[in-house]
Amino acid sequence: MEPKRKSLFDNLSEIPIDDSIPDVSNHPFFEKKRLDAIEFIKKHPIPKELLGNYKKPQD
Amino acid sequence: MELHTYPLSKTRDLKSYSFWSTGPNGFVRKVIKFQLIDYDEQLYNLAFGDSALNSDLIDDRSVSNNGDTHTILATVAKASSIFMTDHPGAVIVATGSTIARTRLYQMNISRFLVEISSDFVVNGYLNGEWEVFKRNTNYDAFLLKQKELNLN
Repeated sequence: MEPKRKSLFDNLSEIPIDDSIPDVSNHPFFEKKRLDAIEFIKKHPIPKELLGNYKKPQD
Repeated sequence: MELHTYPLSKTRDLKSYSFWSTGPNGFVRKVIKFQLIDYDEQLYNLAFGDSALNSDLIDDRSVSNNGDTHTILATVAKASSIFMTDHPGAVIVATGSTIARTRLYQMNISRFLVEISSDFVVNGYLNGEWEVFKRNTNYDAFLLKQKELNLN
């Protein structure tokens, strides 16, 4: 039997919420990153089998 | 292998993370943002930058020269792991802002590929195709998703 490999972050301690983190949602730099990523994926589509196993909520 | 990482904090929506890089040049606040780019596939872009104090300036090409590149990248990887735990089924895509930055990502994924592979599937984009990540290959982008549990 293959031994279980050790995860990089076996000890994922609780991460605190920090309200002082800047809201970068609408920051032009981050918005450009988002649009660049959308463009990249449009040009280089990811095959379905490489995408996740997200289960959409049923109506 | 135990990785040194900086203490992380996160926003209430669980989509942004932050930490402080510390070194000879002082403290630099880093912000990691997971941006939803495809709702149906729960595909998120990993965006990462410095947030200068008292300024709106954010730039992921800036070099803080704090001599802690490995610690920073390990912390970003840890944030990605936590994000995946908070968002089961999510997939993360990452591209560097420069060729050098993309190579840096690639080298660090290679360095910890065995450990990363215990929890995640890593793919890379090269020459028009997405493929399973291989060491010593210069990819243009990376894709990270959690391994599916095989309960059989």
